[in-house]
Amino acid sequence: MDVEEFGALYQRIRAELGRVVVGHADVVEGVLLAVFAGGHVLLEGVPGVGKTLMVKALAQVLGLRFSRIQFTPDLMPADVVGTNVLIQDAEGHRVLTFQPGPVFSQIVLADEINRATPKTQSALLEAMQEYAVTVAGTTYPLERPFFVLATQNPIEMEGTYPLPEAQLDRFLLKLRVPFPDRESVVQILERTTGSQVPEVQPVADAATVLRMQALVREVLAAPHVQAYVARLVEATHPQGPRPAKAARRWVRYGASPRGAQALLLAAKARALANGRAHTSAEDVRAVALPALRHRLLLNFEAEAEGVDPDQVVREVVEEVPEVAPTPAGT
Amino acid sequence: MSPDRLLEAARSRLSWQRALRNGETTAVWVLAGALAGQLGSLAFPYSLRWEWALVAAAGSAVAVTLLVRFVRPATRLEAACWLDRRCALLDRMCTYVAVREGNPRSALVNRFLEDVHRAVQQVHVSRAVPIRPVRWRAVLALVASVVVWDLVLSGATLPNTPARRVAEAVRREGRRLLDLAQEWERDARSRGLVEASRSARRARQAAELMSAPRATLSMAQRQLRGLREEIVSVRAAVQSRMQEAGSLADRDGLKAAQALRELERELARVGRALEEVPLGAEQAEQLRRTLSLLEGKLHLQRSAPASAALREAQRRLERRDRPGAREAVRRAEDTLRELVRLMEEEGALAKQQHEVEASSLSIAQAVRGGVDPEAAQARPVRYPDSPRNRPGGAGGQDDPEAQVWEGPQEGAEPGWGHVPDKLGSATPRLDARRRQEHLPGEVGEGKVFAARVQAPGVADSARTPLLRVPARVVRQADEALRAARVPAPYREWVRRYFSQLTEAGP
Repeated sequence: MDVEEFGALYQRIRAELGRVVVGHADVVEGVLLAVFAGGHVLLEGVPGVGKTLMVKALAQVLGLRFSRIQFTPDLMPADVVGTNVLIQDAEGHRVLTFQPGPVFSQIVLADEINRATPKTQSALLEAMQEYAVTVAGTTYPLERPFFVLATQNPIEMEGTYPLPEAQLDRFLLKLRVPFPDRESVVQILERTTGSQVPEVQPVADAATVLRMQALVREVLAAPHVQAYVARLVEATHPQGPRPAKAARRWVRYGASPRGAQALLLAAKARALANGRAHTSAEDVRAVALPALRHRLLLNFEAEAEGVDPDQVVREVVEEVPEVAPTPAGT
Repeated sequence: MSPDRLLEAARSRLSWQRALRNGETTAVWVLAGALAGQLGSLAFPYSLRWEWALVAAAGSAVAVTLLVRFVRPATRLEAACWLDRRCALLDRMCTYVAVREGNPRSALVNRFLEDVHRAVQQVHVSRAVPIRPVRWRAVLALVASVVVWDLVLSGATLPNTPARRVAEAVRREGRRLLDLAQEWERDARSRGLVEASRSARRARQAAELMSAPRATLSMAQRQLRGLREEIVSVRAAVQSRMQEAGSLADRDGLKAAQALRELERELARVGRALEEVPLGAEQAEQLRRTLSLLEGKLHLQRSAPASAALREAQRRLERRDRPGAREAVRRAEDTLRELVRLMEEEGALAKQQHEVEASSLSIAQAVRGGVDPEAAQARPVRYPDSPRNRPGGAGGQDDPEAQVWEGPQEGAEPGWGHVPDKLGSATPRLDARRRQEHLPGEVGEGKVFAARVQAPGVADSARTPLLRVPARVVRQADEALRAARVPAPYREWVRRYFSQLTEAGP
């Protein structure tokens, strides 16, 4: 696969998704970037804005197996990863057989992930990071490609369990799904309340997605771009050598090295999606918000004043200069 | 254009652009500093000429430009990043530089290089890296400020500041030199001293500039320096001509001139005698001896033209060649006249040089600020009648009190303070009869001074009422005289005064 083929396929996937997902161009792009960068996505938005629809459509377009887990407070880890069950065959022999959970899929929609207990949420940790599940001492690899797309509702916080930092860090991007504008709502009504409900056709398969993921990793990232990523992440640390002003004031703990990886991978995917074989600082800036917003641990002052992590990330990006040196006096 | 050629061109232009901008910045700073310096000259005794400021700004700008261009030229990566920013190349050139250096490696390198080649075709390096001044408005504004300040506010000072003190010293010296220069000019004209007259005129011009209300320190120093150099140069020429005329270097100029003038008169008399006819042998011999005597009094080098002419005249007289002798004497007379004129020129120029140097010194003292220029300006006053200034001393060297006599010191030494504080109230005027006199000035070129002054009193009886002085007062006066530090030569005067009072008393 080459850059042009990737670009063409990317555009076809977007177009196909656009048949069912109205608006949310940024969210769709973010999801696709995360998929091709090989990462997981946390979608945050109020109910009914098309999060689940988007994920299901994505699975169909990419030709991947899809499963949905509705996270509830009584959901147990075994309900996610599976469990060994005692099965008696026709001859009366009883054997313990592993019954895979819904995580054994290629696109897993963890719907309202913050409604499950931390214990259940943590059941996804190994799957997200290691692409494998261990049950009763046995490790079961997950079929690649494997994506977790989790959703959470930002307004109904009662009875929820905020995701632990370790799990948040495993999401490549955190995308906010805003309420669609009026024109989009009209378009949604037109498409979904008639007799003909649009359906999507698969335009890729698992092998193609894997090739696309491999190509993303081939994208050139010059040392100065990598240095820019490192400086951005470094600037989010208030105790670091060169913290940004916003980080010094609002942040308790900054983004991890995994955040830097996510930033660069997402930037590479974006460059490729735009038909380029190299990453630029602009790509990094474009994906900085979804890649870093969930990795900042704000301090008490920020919580008290209602400071949004997005604001902090924006200020950090504004403050940290590109690596490009400027001639003196210009 | 290939990416490498584009990078090289951009690197070169970027180096020049950076160097020029650094140069511009330097010029701005230097000019701003000059402007601040001009502001400071309102309070401190220095002056900053706009020519210096401009030359310094231009010089430093050129130096910094060349230094930055050749010592710290732009790198390829800097040029690449600049192109990326200016031409929206999305870091293609930066990445290209990294790829050419072998980092990073990827299967997409060839595809990337094709992309870069396509992208650079749209780049115009002259537009991407323009070489043009960007701070010329600031530079022009500062240049205008510096020049306008120098032309309009030069010489302005704030009251009660060292700058004001020095400016006053400059103007005072200017006025003093102006008076002297006018006197020198008149004197030189009347005596026919060409060089002295010329340098006096030059001194007058300098003094007029110095006494102007906005006279500056640098201008005064420049004028005085130039004037001194000119006088020294003219003096050297005059001295050289004096040497050629046979003058001995170690002679006192004024005395020698007087002596020569006397000899010149003697020669004139001899010349007139030579014209008398007939000239007897005895008379000729007498004249020859006179000439020999005059030659001995010349105190010139033996090879001096005047001496040679006198010797020639003596030989002619011995041969009874009266016309030849007369011609030789006239030649000697002319040579001596010229020598006398040169000596007078030298004396006048030396005086001028001395006064110019005194003015320079006075201004320099005012600049140093350690002394009050008013006091420094005051020339030491000598009291001819005081025992200290009298040769041998009236009280004699053996009189111990004569040695410690200090005399009036008020105003004679540099120092601070006001005259009234030191002298007390003004001396009451005696009701003496005085004659009103009118002092007319010299009529001629330059200013004419005329004033009504009170001349010294005429001889008359004292108006101070004489009273009977009791013996007790005389005794007290004697004791007071013994106790007080009255100089020995005055002691007798005081005693005599009191004795006269006693005698004259009713």
